[in-house]
Amino acid sequence: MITKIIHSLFLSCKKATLFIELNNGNNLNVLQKIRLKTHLKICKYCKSYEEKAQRIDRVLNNELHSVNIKNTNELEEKIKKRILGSE
Amino acid sequence: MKSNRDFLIEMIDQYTTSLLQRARFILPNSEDAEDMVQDVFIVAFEGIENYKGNSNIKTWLMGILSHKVADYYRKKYKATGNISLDTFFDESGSWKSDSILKTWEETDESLLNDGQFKKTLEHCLNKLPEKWSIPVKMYYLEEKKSELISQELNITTTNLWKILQRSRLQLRECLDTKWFNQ
Repeated sequence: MITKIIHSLFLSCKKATLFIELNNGNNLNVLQKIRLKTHLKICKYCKSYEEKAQRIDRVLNNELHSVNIKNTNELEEKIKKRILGSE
Repeated sequence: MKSNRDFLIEMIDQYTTSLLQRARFILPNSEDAEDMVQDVFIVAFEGIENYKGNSNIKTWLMGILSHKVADYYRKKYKATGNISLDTFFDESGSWKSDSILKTWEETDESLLNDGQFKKTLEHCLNKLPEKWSIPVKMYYLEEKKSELISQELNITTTNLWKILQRSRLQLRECLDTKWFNQ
């Protein structure tokens, strides 16, 4: 019952998770931000999701910089040969 | 003056590693990633005259890499299709499962230094369809410039946000079952 009221007044959880995404990318306007904040205050499910979403965000940011690359000498030689080889 | 040839050799020596790192982040298959890096240098060599010092070399090469990824994506995925959230939400838009309430105890620090966690994360990323994982990864590579990314990949921004939402919901579930509450 209470969730139904929350949903009709503010946001559904489905929509709130989209807003969390948009907020993370700095793409919510002021009104949307207020709607999201209010939803998160009363919905423990989405609050818990938001924390995890932010964590995944940090982890992915880190992953981008930490891909392990082995020695690239061989690839470098291959590229030089391919582009300059015929000269 | 440096010849184009010397200039190219210098670029290859200096930037292959960072280009490959990015390419591997996007395309986990190392052969595809290496091919893409080769293509970047081919384009760079052809365009060397246009370049000559206007922007930072690394930025220029990374830009070419992004274009290559976008080409690959556009050729392979003409339409994003329907992105359904029915696995996660019921028809009223409420969470279907309580599992979202489980806590994730570990700190960021211990996670980021854990090689096993890294493997689990890669496993979960690989479980996303490539149609979604490429936009998600581009979003991180391009520092969340959503407009630019949707233009390059030829998807609407609405769809980009939906892909991000859907992918993160799935990543959350995968990490929850494979790592935090296994």
